[in-house]
Amino acid sequence: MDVFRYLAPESVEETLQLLDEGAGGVKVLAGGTDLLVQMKERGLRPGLVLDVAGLHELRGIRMEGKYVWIGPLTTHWDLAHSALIREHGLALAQGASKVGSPQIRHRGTIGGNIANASPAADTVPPLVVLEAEVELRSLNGSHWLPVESLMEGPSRTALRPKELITGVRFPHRAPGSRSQYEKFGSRQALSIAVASVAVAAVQEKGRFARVRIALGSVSPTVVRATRVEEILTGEALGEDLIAQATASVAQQCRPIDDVRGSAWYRCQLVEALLARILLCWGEEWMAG
Amino acid sequence: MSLMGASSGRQVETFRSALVGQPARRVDGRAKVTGRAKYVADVGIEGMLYGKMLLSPHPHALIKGINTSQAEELPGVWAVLTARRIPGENQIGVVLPEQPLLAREKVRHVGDCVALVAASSEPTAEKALDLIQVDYEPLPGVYAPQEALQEDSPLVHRKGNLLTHLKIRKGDVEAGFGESEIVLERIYQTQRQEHVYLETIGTLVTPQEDGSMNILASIQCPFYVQKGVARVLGLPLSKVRVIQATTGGAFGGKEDVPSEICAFASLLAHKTNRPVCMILSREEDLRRSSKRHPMTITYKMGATGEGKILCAQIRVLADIGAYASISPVVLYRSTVHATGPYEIPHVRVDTYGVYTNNVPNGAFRGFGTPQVTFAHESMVDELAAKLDMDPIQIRLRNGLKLGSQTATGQVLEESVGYEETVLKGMKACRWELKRAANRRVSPSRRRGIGVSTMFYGVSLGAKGWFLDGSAASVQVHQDGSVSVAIGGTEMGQGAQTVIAQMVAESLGLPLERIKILPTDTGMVPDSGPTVASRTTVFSGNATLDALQQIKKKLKELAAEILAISPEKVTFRDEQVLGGEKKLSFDQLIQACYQRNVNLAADGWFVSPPCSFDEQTGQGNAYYVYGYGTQFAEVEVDLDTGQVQVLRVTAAHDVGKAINPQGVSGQVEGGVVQGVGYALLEDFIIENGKIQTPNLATYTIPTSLDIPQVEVIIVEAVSKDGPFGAKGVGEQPIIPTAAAVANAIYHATGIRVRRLPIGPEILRRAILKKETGNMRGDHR
Repeated sequence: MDVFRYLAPESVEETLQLLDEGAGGVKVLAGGTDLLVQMKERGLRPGLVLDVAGLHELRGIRMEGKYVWIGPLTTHWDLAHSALIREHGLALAQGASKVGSPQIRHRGTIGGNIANASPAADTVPPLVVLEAEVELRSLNGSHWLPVESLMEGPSRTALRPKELITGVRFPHRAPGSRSQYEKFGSRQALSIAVASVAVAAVQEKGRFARVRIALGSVSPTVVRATRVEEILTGEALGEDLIAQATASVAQQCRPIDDVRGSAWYRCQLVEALLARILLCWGEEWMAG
Repeated sequence: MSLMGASSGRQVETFRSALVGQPARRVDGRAKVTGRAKYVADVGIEGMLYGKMLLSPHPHALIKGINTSQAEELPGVWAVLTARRIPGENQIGVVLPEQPLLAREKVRHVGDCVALVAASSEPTAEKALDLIQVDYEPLPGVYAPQEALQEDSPLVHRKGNLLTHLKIRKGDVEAGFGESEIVLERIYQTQRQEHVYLETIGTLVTPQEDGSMNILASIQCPFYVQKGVARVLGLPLSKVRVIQATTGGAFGGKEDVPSEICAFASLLAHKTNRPVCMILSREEDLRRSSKRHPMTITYKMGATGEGKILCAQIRVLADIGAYASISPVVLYRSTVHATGPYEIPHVRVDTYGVYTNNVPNGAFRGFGTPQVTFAHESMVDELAAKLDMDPIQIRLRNGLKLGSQTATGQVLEESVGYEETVLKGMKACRWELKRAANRRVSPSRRRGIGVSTMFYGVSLGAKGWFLDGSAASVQVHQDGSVSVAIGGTEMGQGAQTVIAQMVAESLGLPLERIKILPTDTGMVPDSGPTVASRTTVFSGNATLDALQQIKKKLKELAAEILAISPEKVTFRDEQVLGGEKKLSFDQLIQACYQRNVNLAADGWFVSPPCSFDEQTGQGNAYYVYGYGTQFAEVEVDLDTGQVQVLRVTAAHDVGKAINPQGVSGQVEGGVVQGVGYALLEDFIIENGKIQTPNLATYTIPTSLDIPQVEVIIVEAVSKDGPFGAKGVGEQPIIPTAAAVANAIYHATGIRVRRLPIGPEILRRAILKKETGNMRGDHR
């Protein structure tokens, strides 16, 4: 690892100022679980590292109007154990609980997971189905952008070099709605998703409404399975519907072959994971 | 125990627990769990330099030139070395002289080292590596043993790609197949496995004023390092002293490769006259260290309709990689164990070891046995299924017992616990109940149970007999404490504890009085390698030999003091007893010191004789064998192909278990590593390039992936072992993979003949079976 400049700004304002001055060569350090690996192992050489870990205003989970607000420095550990997150966005708690190992969950942050833009990120499919947005702030002001629109490609986001993620939020859980995240990795912990599926939906009189499905590790970015959403919408959950939904989910994937699994197998997995979620819901819906 | 007199029951228990056959607390345990143990990376010396290797980017290439001048000019760089600057011999091959320490004319795999750097910091050393220019001319390579045997194949070494061919010829296999009512032929394939010891290989070399070298290192075999470094530096063995640092795991991976790393650091230390520290990063370690040999095993077996096995014809094709490492000895073991623990009248085995431009394969727990065991235990299961027999019955019908003859014609005259491991394990896992139970736990989940058995020759056997002596040096100090220097190393397997227990038992002392010293070539004669599950027996017997000499003197003096005959003297609970009379151990030691009785002695033990005829493969291949049976229970997710191993019942005959707690630990660890081998671990090299260069891509089981393990210890004692012990280190990994594969078959009806049984492979097979059945029946 080369010599680099390191600063630990004391406020968001100061951070934005430094980002503005620093132009391209600045990297923001939160938990460091991705950045330090990139610097040590993959030749990333930022001129300046801004350590924002001390910015406590960017940490925490709370209700804010009709949203659940999450500070971008909130760790996966805290997300997984938050009663508020479990109540309003169970899929996100499940995703956060499946990141790496306990050590990584204690360090890694949701903001970092989003900014790193891995198609295999465990919090992103849940955020997408929960209709989450991120607040991007620069000296010129701030705006909210859906997580889904933020992802442009592997390690590429719409986040501009002078912008900082200063908030993450998603709407309260509507009555009758639920969400779930399922991941397949080669082992039970410390695994990068070979494929993952998140589903959020509302049950209205026994029928699906507002269905959102997101798939991880099967395309250059996390993607929505919009055709499957259409198939489910307005229908009652049953064996035929599950078969129909799982049969069409693979068409929405553009996976690659790599050492973790072939494209073919990833398609098999999203089918299996989607079926697992729908079967589980089916049993519970039937049970009342 | 009554001799403890007023002691409370609790103290009695603690005290007794130190003795042979009782669970003992690890003597090295406290320092390790509290973080006080010092590994090489924890030891710093002022002014030390950091050594780094420049490894080849090509699996096969000529070296046209190396320019080191830019690197040498970098501030902070103390030395840059290439093959031209070696004072001794540029040779590190432990079995065959075909492995240059530093590549000179050509590189043969992507771990070959072409240059070394010593610098005042690690980043500087890394930067210097970037400044070395090597002009390579890539050559066509050969990456699969099948291709390597073809006539027009590129040659890894001038002598040709076939390194070794080992044989067994027993009986008449053609006649055997003729008599057989059923003949099966199958091909089984196994993968490369990496050791993933917790601590990577590392060393700190300190040059001494007289030009000799002191080497502290994370190693298994200090005497190999001593010989390797002396050879490369052109020093006499007396000027190379190797001390083993606390070592965080080895599993065979620190048998020969550390000699290379220590030689690198020694070269740099010699050149700079400074201490040099060289600790491999995980990525360097994965690239440079040896692996378990991938093998293709073609198995043909014939039997009667009642399941009596009549003949086996086995062809083993092993990928050696670019250098021999200790492959000839590994493949000897594969050959001897190819038929498994069965008595088979007609046997033909041909084992071929073939060079490729892959990373060299070498020693790994089990040493060539896990591969052939996966084959024979799958084969026997397939045979049982064809004959509609219970897998246990076919094993009992053919298993080795007292008086049986092995494939090498060895008649087993003692210590055969095979049948007992089968029967005890079968009962403990409730085999019959589980076998008959409903396998369907949900529409997409199936359960099954499978069995696998093994035998394993203890120590080096006929091929390594010339290395099979071991030494120990024991000293009873004036205060009655005892220090013991042994030639075997502690690498986490619990060697120090069992040796301390033997001393405690022999002298009637508590464990706390015994100190086992770090293994040091300056203090103990060459005791061969710490491998092959031999330390308990070899260091143990050498220690007992030394103790025998000391006890003779102690008994004589005690007899004189107590006025009885020496043969009546015994040692127990810190007392020296002679009939009705007694004196304390401390009093006796005081008396010895007052009379100038020397209470230090050296012990020595040599393996009982072994033999192996190269032409027929007949002989007493190993002096004794351990036996084991494992039962694996699995749950298979049909939709994803993922397998969870729920429970493994492991019954192992280890002779006398000196420390049952340690035996259990070894068995549990072996099963975990075996589950990784069965399902997960695969060190992938494609066209000579490593595809799994780190622990994110080479995955091993985590604590959430491992089964519950029930350990059953069977003690068929061996007359040549200390207290009847045989050793346990390697056995538990050997049968696990086949037990898992057989359980998957029981759960799903799918037979997978290739390791690892990853979820994708299994899912493909499930799908194929479903479509073969016209329609899926699992949902």
